[in-house]
Amino acid sequence: MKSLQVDASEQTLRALYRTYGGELYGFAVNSLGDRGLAEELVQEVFTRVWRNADKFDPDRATFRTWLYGIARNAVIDFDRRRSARPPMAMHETDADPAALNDSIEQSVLRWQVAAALERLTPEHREVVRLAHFQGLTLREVAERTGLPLGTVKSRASYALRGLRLALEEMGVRP
Amino acid sequence: MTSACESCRELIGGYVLDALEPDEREHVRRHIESCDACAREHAELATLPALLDVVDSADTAPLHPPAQLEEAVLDRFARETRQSHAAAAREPGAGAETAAPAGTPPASAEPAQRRRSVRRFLLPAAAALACAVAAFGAARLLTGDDASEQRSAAERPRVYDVALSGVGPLPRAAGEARLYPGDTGTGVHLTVRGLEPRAYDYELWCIRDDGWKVSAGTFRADSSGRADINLTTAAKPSEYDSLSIQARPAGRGSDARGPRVLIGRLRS
Repeated sequence: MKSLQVDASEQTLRALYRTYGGELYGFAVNSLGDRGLAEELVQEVFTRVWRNADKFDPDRATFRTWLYGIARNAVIDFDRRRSARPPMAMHETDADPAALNDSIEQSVLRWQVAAALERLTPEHREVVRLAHFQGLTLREVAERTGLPLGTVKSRASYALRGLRLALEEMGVRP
Repeated sequence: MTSACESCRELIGGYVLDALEPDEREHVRRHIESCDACAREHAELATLPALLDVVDSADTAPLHPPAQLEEAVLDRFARETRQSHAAAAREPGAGAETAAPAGTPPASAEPAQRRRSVRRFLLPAAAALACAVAAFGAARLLTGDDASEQRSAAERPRVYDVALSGVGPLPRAAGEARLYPGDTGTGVHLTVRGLEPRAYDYELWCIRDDGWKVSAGTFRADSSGRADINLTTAAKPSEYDSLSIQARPAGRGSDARGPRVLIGRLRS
């Protein structure tokens, strides 16, 4: 029988997975270009999180920063392991840690913004699509959709508040 | 709030998205200059357009991991944990019987010693991660919000008392559920009154706020509309947010649909 401590820890890990698993997977697919490998990477990262949990110091770094430090190292290890030409691969990997860092932030942010948009209602997302991505004014959005202008105005405001809330819940400070 | 604020709140989205007519834009701009509350709201939303620009369109779907990945992560954790148990058992001072594989009854295990060896390996990690979870708002998935709560929860298994109140077709129904940890799952002692005895069968559900739910079993009411029953569910109460009782037309099996008749929150 599993001990209660294990049970509590398992719940902790599950909670962490549910908070960070999605974005980490998005990052992994982006970094490795392969969904199967990405799944392996996510497993590996959570295993390392668990093994090194006592080294995590919330006073020194946020959990997300710490997590992506681990993820970044895991990507480098995976790249080395799968490379047919290890010396070349090491050279390539060593040459661009800054680029990799940058791509981590970018790819995580892309995933988070896409996930925040996905959480809007279709009506709110439509207003963001037309007003922001297609550059229409709210008056033009109302003409295009046949909705009353007042409805479009309030939807634009609700949509942005919804976006902000969704991003905050993912730990992004807009 | 003044009517100027109300009109500003309506227009603030369009203002931030730069999608207002010139006169409206000017109206909002002036109001924000003189109103702290609306200026704060504007500041909260003003950075969003730049964030939106990191994706190509409003329909860039985020890539979600396959559902089985969560279980794969937890399975691997379980394997690692068993190895830690075995390693703990091999250390001097720990009983050899603690190396027994999971599920094997320890023949002559000394429980206190066994608990110590496990705790030594697991608590620091659990405590550190629990801090991380608490810091990022995922704490609602945990039994306790911080490490000390988690420790006491581990030593003194938590019992949940849930008050159920009637909704929908049975507004006068009421009941209580006590959830307690057991060897084979979570025991549920359920007492309900005010049920409709003949027309319905009932099913108790554990429900998460994100919509995920798991059944805790089915039952019927006696002729006075009461039920006093014990059920067992594999659900861990700490992972769920509320209980509900669903009524289904009697004798129609588990595919029949029916209304929720009682609900109660697992936590305040």
